[in-house]
Formats: sequence, structure tokens, C-alpha cells
Amino acid sequence: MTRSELIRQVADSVTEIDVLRSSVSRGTSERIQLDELRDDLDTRVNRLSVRNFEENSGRFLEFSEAISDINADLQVTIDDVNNRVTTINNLKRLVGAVDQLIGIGRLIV
Amino acid sequence: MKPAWRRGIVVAGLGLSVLLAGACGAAYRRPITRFNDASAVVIATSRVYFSELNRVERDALIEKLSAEQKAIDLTMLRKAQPFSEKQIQERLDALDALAQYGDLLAKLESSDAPTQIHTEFKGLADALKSLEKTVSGDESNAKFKAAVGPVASLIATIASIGIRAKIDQQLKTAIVDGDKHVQALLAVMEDDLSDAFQNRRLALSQLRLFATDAYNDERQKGKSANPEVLTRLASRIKTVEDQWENFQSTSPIPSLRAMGKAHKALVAYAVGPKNPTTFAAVLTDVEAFLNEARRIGEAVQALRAL
Repeated sequence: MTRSELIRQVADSVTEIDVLRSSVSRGTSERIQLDELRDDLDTRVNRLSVRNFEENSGRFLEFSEAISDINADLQVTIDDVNNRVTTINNLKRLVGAVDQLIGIGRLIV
Repeated sequence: MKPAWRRGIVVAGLGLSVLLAGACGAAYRRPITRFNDASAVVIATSRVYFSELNRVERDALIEKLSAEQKAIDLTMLRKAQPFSEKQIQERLDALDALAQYGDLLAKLESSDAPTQIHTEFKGLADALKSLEKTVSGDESNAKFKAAVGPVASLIATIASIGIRAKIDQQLKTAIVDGDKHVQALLAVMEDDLSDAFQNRRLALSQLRLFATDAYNDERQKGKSANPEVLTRLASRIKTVEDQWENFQSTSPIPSLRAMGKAHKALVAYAVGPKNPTTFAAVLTDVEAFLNEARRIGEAVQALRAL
């Protein structure tokens, strides 16, 4: 997987969070958490886009695989109204996994 | 499937085109003209994405702060812009390099005055070398240096043979030697434009939410909700949803890939025999590129018009 493909994957999740947020009333605790997680991921997409990576390195492969796995978990729960706690937990895991990846990137700005 | 007699007419027509083109010393005319037309559209479309990299991020932040009724200050706006002016300019300059390469092919194909071409190419090569120097000043842009530099060297080489070689030989050299450099430049573009596309997608996705939030906030006022405001806010949702649907078809990536494929077809044509079959083959890929370029061009125009 390349950096651009990973960015697209994370961006896919962000657009799905936006759809989810539109069905949750503003000001509720769930909505506030979703808003914050959305901001966190949006910021991280920007950080990924200004970093270069050794895409063949073991660590890149390890972290990108972790991101893909979490994304797959997210797809299972994001449309399920009764499973929002799991969705929010998966989003937190996603933020953490993207942070790990950012940590091994070289800033290009 | 076309009947055999119709295919025969098509092949005969193409054969005649090749013969006439050969007689005029311009067997490359149609493929190169089409390739250059399509390249111009793709480059213009890519330019839109690069030019608006910072604006998209800045506007998204303003929309967000406004929706949340938070304070806006200029420092925040400056921090929201991920690319420096210099970096955006370097990407626009790299697009220019690609455009100039297409112009080079078109000029080679259409010119009967090698001396004049020599002068023009020398100017172009100097401009590209200057770009290479600018890019190489910044270590972080190594990938641009690697992609732009060889194009400059290639054009300089062609310029140096301009006054002594035949035009067709120059064309062949330009296309064949240029391929790996053009493909490398396209790969760099694809990487950056893919990111730019995703940034824009996220900004638009957020706008969708703001539109529905605004409508739902008004509706939740119950009896005191203003029907006129509700109608206006519903209309805003429709507009943003139209933008969202159109946006999905504005990714510049397929057109860049079609450009790479069309250039590969030009290479195969340049090194192979010039006959109706090879002419038809190169035209197929170049026409596919032109169609893709037109599609993306129209989609981006439609998006901007909304």
C-alpha cells in the first residue's frame, strides 16, 4: 500500500464519520466525541500529505496494515446505530495508528 | 462489432491518412496534435487543484469556525494552509514543464524550419534548467528535482541536434527518450494531485454536514422555526449534494494515467513501422486520452460553476 492509498482510506473513513455525524444531534456527548475525532483525523490526513515515507520499509508496512485492519473494523460498525460506542473506540484506535505512521515520516514542508 | 466491409473502409482510410501524412513528412500529425490537445486540458485541470490547495483548506476552516460560531483570526487561517507559496509554485512550474514538452512535440511535428526550432528549444531548455535549480534548492522536494531535471536535459539534447537532424528523427528521439521522464513526472503529479483531491473531498464532506446541521438546528426550533429559512437551508443542502455528486468524477488521476498510456503508445509508434495498423493503434490510445481529458475538464468546469 502507498502513502496516497492510505490517505484515501483514512479520508474514506472521515467522509463516513460526516454522514454519521449528520444523524446525531449537536451538543450530545456522542456528537461532541465524533466532532473531535473527525477533526483529529482531518488534521492527520494533512500531516500525512506533507510527509515522505519509505514505503517498502517494515515499519511502514506494519503501520499501514494496522490502519487497514482498523478501517475494516470501522466499516462493520459505522452504520449500526446500536454500536456507536464500538465505532467511537475504533475511531480512537485509528487516530492512534495514524499517529504511529506519521511518527516514521519525513516532513516535506 | 462492425461488419468486415466497414472495418475495411476504416483501415483503408487510415492507410490513406498514413500515406498522405508520410508524403507531407508529418506521419505523427494527428496523434501528436490530439495528444497535445488532451495534455493541455489535463494540465489546466491539474493546475486548478494545485492553485487551490491552500484556499480549500482555508475555506474549510472558515466554514467550520463560522458554523461553530467561534472566533476567526488570521494566524489560524495561515496555519490552516499546508503548502508554502514556493511549493505550490514549484508544482505549477512542473506542470508547465509537461506542457512545454507537449508543445515541443507539436512544434517538431509542424515545423519546416529547424533553425527556428533550435532557438525556441534552447529557450525552453534554459527555462527548465532554471526550474531544476529552483527545485533543487529545497532538499524536501527531491522527488520534483528527480522528475523535472531529466526533462530539462532531454530538451537541451534535442535542441542541440535541432539544426542537423531531420525532423522525424528529432520527433522519434523526443518521444522515445522522453518517455521515462514523462512517466516519472506523471507519477509525481499523481501522488500530489491524489492528496489534493482528498483534501478537497474532506472539505466538501464537511460542508455537507454544515448544510444539514443548519437545517436541523432551524427545524428543532419547532413552532418558532422560520419556514422561509427552512426552505433556503433545504435548497443549500441540495446545492452541496449536487457538488458532492459532481465532485466524485473530478479526480484528475484517471486522466494522468490515460496520458501515460497515450505516451507509451506514441513511443511504440515512433519505434515501430508506420502503417495503418500501428497508426490505428496509437490513435486509439490517444483518442481515449483525449476523451478522458475532456470528461475531467467538463466535470471540473461544472463543479466550479455550481
